[in-house]
Order: sequence, then structure tokens, then C-alpha cells
Amino acid sequence: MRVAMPVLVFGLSHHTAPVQVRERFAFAERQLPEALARLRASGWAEEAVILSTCNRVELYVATARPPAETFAGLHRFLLDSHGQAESVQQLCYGLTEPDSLVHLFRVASGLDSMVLGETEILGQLKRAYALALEHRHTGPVLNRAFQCAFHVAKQVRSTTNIQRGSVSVGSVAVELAEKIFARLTDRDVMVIGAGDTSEKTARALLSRGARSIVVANRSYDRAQALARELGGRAIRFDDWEQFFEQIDIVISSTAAPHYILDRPKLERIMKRRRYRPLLLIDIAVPRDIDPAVAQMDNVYLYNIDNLQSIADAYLSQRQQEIQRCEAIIAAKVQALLARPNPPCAGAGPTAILPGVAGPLAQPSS
Amino acid sequence: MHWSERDLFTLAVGLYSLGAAHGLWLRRKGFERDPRLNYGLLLTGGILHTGALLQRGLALGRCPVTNLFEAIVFASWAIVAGCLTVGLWPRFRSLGAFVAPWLVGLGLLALLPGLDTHPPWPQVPAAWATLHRSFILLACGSFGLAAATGLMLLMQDYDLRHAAFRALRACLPSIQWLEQTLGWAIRIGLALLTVGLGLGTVYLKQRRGLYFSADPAVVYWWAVWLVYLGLVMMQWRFKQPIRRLAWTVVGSFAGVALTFWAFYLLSPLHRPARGPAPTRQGSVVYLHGAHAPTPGLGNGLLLRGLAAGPRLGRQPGLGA
Repeated sequence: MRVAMPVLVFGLSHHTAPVQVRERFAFAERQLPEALARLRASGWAEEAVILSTCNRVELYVATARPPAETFAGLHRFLLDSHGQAESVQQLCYGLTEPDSLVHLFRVASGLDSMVLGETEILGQLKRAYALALEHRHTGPVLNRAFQCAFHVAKQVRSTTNIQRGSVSVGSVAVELAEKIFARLTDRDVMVIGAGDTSEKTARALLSRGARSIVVANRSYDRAQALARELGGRAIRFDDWEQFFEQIDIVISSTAAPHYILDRPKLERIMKRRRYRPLLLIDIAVPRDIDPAVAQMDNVYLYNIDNLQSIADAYLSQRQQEIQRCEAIIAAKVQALLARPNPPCAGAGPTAILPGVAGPLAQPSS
Repeated sequence: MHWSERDLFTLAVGLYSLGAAHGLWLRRKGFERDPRLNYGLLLTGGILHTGALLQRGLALGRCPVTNLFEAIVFASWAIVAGCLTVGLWPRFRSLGAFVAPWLVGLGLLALLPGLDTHPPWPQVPAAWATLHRSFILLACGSFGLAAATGLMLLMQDYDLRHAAFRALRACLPSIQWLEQTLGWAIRIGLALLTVGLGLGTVYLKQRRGLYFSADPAVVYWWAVWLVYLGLVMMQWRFKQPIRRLAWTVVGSFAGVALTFWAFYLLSPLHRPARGPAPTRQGSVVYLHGAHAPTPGLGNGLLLRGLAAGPRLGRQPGLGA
């Protein structure tokens, strides 16, 4: 039979609370050991893990006390920890088994994230668990639940398409570049017009190893500021054509009311650059680049609608995968609850932090 | 049960046909799935194909590149070997889907009746001649691989322009990788063809005292050499657009695949007069040549390596 101490979850997330509330209840990482110790000392948790990210603050506890009483205690703990007096009970959720385990597994798999299927949350969850484990605030119940959650997340990632593809305009642009060029490490990028999306796209390309970046903007100061941030070089807006020959990827987002690049102009440039492939990303509205250039050999043009529709298609593909993920999670939760030694609980806590597993620390009273 | 080399080759062509059909299915699915099955079909076909070549080579005691059947089998083997090697890189594993239709076409051509005539002359061809033919056929293999890569490139280019989401999900290499692979394949093919034609020239000089003969096959292969030299020069010196290069490479190989056998048949220098079927006495097989018998071999060609009993195809009179 299952141990009499169930896993409970109490907290708030982007589903239930706006950022103005979430930020008031967030724990800095350095505060966590002390908060965990206080939580266990309060008597509301035998074992505890605190997950605090920009999208959620959640307390995972194992306790033999009645859930309703425990949730009230955990709510009070949250308020006291952040010096808040006003109740936020209506913005919080409390879950008991099996919903608490389902929730944990969904969080680990990225199904509860703002960007469906993202993987960052798994790293954050592992860090939160490792910290609690290191300070001996976890025991057999939470160790088993969290190990199983990591196992489920791995299985979901490897057997479904929930994390496949890019769901932001910037990362779609990177994917397209990788389908055109052999490698990005020897590619030069030009940003024409220093907008927010073009900056994000440029950053995404740089993060994948793009060699250099040139920024052209009507306001030279803004071009310099962005170039400084990106570690690139600023040029005057009227000079961008001179640099075009060396460029492989262009991100254009000017406020020009007409095309700044048309087919006759690009044909001359392509001949000079010996028809090396050119990726043009036009995220301006109205468009900066004449759509007729898309007919040219070795020129690949995408506008904001193209990129957004790809990102949406990926997101829709991820949403279609949710059912498969939920089925995996439901089966794992059932297995965890039904068996005294569920298969995924085989890996002990040392799988995360070797050598730190040990008995629970005594809560200070 | 004993499988002749023709049986093995027929089986291989059957597997290539399955590979081609599976390739069409992969295309319908946008090459989203890992094409391991397709690679596996070509690998199995390639093993049988190699077995067929080895069996015939061991039976003849020479490289099997003498008649039209052998030439096509050898050239298509070069294509499949190249495809399987390049396919070791996971992103290029789908190449088999583009190679398989060529292999099926060439395989069916090879299996046409009447192409597997036995050479009445020279019974054991000079090493020069064997190398000459082998290099030219290996060059064909390389050009075939380039053509398949070209098809892949055209498809990828089309998808990136008209169905970018499908292109992003496909397990295919980038446009530049395809361009580079295509470039290497035609350069390697041109180098092999140059060596093959050079060896042919040396052989011709030795046998006939000529550096060049107006034989249709000789003229044809020099013309092919010029076409591919032009392609390499165009890519190297003038850097033509990728799509044009791909179309030219596909078209050039299609032209070679559709015509080379005709020039072979027109060539008195290369085409053997059809000889009577080989006969077997015990473990010895005799090919009865129309030309003068080779000294020491009586009036027929002794095929070596048959002691173990492999059959030489489905030739009447060979026995089981």
C-alpha cells in the first residue's frame, strides 16, 4: 500500500495570478534554504520543495496532516514569508493526490508552461529539488515523486513532439537559416532598422553562432546602441547597400513606406556576390522588400506572416500532442500510486546529486 | 538452394523498387520520419547486389565490366555504394529515396533479355581495359549520385520557397550541404571519367596504335566528359545559381542513363558479337568465342573460380 503521507501542492502560477501578484511571492534562490527550513519547522510539511520561477511559486510538500488544514497553513506561510497581509487564497490552488502528482508531472514536462512544451522549467524544477535535497528537506515520498517526474519528462520529450519546433519568430528564423546554410558560424548578419523583433531575431542568430552583425538604422545613435548590445558594428542607414555583398542573412524592419530592396537592385547585388545563398527576413509592416525577389535563384525571402504562421503551426502541432503526453502522465501517476516501489522510483536521489542523499534534517522548532 | 548472380541482382532490384515506393511515401509524409527503413531496404539490396557482382567476378576471374549487363550492374552498384556511404550521415539518409528510382530504371534495363551476351574476345581482358571500363562506370555512379542529390536539392529548394513549414520538419540536409555534396560528386565523377578515358586511350594506343578512334562509344564518352567538365567549370569559375546547377546535373545524368547503352550497342570497338551460350563440363565452363581461340585454352574460354559450383546466370546449358 501507498504510504500514508501524500504529496500536496500549493501555490500560484501564470494561470491563476497576474505578474504583479506573482512577483510579490517569488523566492530568490538564496532565500530558499532558509524558507524550506522555516516551512518544515512550521509543522505544515514533513518534506518540502519550493519551486519559484517567473511564472509560478509552488510548494510541494509531503505531510500526514489533513489537506484543508495544510493548505491554510501553507497560505499563511506564503504571506508571512513575504510580509504580506492581504489574502491571496482566491489566486492560489491546492492539490491533493492524485492531482498533485499529475500537476508535478505536467510542470516537469512543460505542459503547464506559458510556452507549451518549453524545457527551461525542467531545469528549474531540478534545481529546486536539488536544493531541497542538498539541505535534506526531502524524504522518501518527495524523492520518489520528483525522480518519477524527471523520468516522465524525459519520456514525454523523447516519445512525443511536444517540444519539437520553434514557437517564436526569432527561433523560426534561426531554423530557416539552418535549412539554407551549411553552418551559421561563418555567416554575417545585417539588421536594417532596429526594432524589437529584429533585435530578438538577431540575438537568436548570434546565439547559434552567427559570425558578425552589422546594424543600420535611420537614427545612428540607436544603431550604435543596438550594435553595442549585440557586439556588432553600426553603420549609417544610407551605407547599408555597400555592405550587402558580404552579408548572408538580412533582417529588415524599417518604418519606410516603400520597398527599400527591389528585384533589379538585388539582381545586381546577387551577381556581385556570385549567387551565394541569401536569407531575407522582412518583419516590417509595410514590407521593406519587394516580394518579387522571392522568385530569384538562391534568394529566400520570408515576411512576418510567413514566420508567424510557421510558429503557429508548430504550436498547433504541440497542442495536438497534449493528449499523448497526458496519457503517459496518467499511466505513470497510476503506477506510482498503485505500487509500493513504482518502477520510476528505482533511481534514488543520488541520480541528481551524488553523495548528498541522507536522512531528513531535523526541523528546527 | 543456390542463387545465381542474376537471381541476386533481380532480388536487389526488387528491394530497390520497394525503396522507391517507400521513398514516395516518405515524400508524401514530408520526410518527417527517420528514413531508416528506406536505408535498410537499399542496404539489403546493396548487399545482394554486391553478392551478385562478387559471384560473377569470382566466376569469371576478372572484374565484371565486359558486356552491357555487367556494365549496368557495375554502374548501379557504384551508385548504391555511394548512396549508402553518404547515407551514413543521418541527414543524408533520405538520399536513398531519390537514388532508388534511378536504380530501378537501370536494374530493369540490365535485366532486359539479350544484354548478357558473353564476350568472345579477349577472353581475359587486359588490365588496362578492365580499369578503363571500371573507372568510367564508377564515374557514372558518381554522376548518378550527383543527380539524386540534385533532385533532393530541387525538392528542398521548392519546399523552402512554397512550404517552409514542411521544409523545416523534413529530415533533410541544408541547401548548402546539398550543393557541396553535389559539387563533390560531379568533381569526383569527372576525375574518374578522366582517368577511365586516359586508360582507354593508352589501351587503344597499345592495341591499335591510335590515340583516338571515331568509334561511337569513344566519341560519346568524350562528349560526356566535355559536358561534365563544362558543369564543373561553370560551378567553379562562374558560380551559377543552385537551381540551374541541379537541373543541369539531373538532366545530364538522365541523358547519359538514357543513351549510353545505345552508343555501346553501336560501337564495334566495345560491343562483342553475340557468342554461343557457355557450356559446362564438370566444374569447368567454356565460353565459345566467335573470335580466334586463346592459346592454351582450346577453342573456348575457361572460366575460373567455378569449382565451388556457382552458376553463371540463367544461361542454357550451364546446368544447375
